[in-house]
Amino acid sequence: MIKRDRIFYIACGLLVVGIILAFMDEYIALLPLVGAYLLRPSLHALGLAKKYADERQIQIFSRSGNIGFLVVMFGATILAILRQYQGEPPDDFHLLIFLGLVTKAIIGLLMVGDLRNAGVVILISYGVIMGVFAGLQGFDEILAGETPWETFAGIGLIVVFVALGLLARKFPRPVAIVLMLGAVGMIWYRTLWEFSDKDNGIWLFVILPLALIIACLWGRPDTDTFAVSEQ
Amino acid sequence: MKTRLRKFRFERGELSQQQLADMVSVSRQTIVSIEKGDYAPSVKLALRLAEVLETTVEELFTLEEKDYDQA
Repeated sequence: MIKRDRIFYIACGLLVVGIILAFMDEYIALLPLVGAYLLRPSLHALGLAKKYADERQIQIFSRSGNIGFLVVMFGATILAILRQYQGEPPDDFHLLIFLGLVTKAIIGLLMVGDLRNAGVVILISYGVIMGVFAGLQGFDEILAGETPWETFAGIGLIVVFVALGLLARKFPRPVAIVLMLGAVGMIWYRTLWEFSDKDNGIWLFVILPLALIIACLWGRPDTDTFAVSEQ
Repeated sequence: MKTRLRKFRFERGELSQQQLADMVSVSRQTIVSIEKGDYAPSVKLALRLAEVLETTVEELFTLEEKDYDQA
C-alpha cells in the first residue's frame, strides 16, 4: 500500500522532474529519479521524519538497506576485478568500495559510543584499507614480473598504521598529535610545494579521515560510571 | 515471544487492528506482525500498547523457552 504523506508528494515531484529531464535527454535525469526512490529510506536512515514511519518500518528500511549495500559492494568488487583483468584502471570502483566501507565502518563505530576505541579501530582499518588499495596499484608489476614497489609501499603503510593504532590504545593523545602533525605536514607540502589546488582527493581520503581519528582519540575515555562514582 | 494482544484487543471493546494502530501511532501491518509473533515490539511500543489496553506488558507478552537462548 502506498503511503500518501508529505514525503510521498515530494518524491512524486522529484519523479516528475526526472521524467521531464529524461525526455529532454539530460543525463542528470538519473539524479532526481534515484532521489525520488531513496528519499524516504534516506530520511529514516538519518533519523529524520520519524513521524512518517513506525519502528517496524524503520527496521525494514534498515535491513533492506543493509542487503542493498552488500549487493552494491559485491557488484562493485566484481566489476573492479573484471576491469583490472581487461587492463583498464578500476579507480572509480575502488573509490565506490572505499567510500561505502569506510562510511559504514565509521558510522557503526561512532554509534557504539566508545570514541577512543572507535578512533583506534578507525585508525587501523584506515591504514589497512589505504595500504591494500595502494598495494593493488602494484598488481600490474607483479603480472609483468617486475618489482612491485607500490605493493611494498602499501605493506609499509599497513605496518605504520597498525603500529600507531596499537600505540594509540596506551597513548591516544600523543598519537593524535603525531597524526595532526602528519596532516598539517601533508597540507603544507601540497599547498606550498606542489601548488596544486586540483587534487581534492587529499581532503577526502587523508585529511577528513585523519581529522575524525584525531577527534576520536582526543575525546574522553569511555569509563565505567559506577567505578568513577566509587572513587 | 507469545502475545495476548489479540485477546486484549477484543476484550477492550473489540478494537480493530487499525483502531489500535492509530491509538499507538503505528501502521496496521505492525499490529498484524506483533499478533502473529513475527515482530517483537520495542519497550516503548510495548508500554504504549499496555497503556491503551489498560493492562501490563507482562500480561501482554510472555517469553517462550526459545527466547532465553537468543537473549
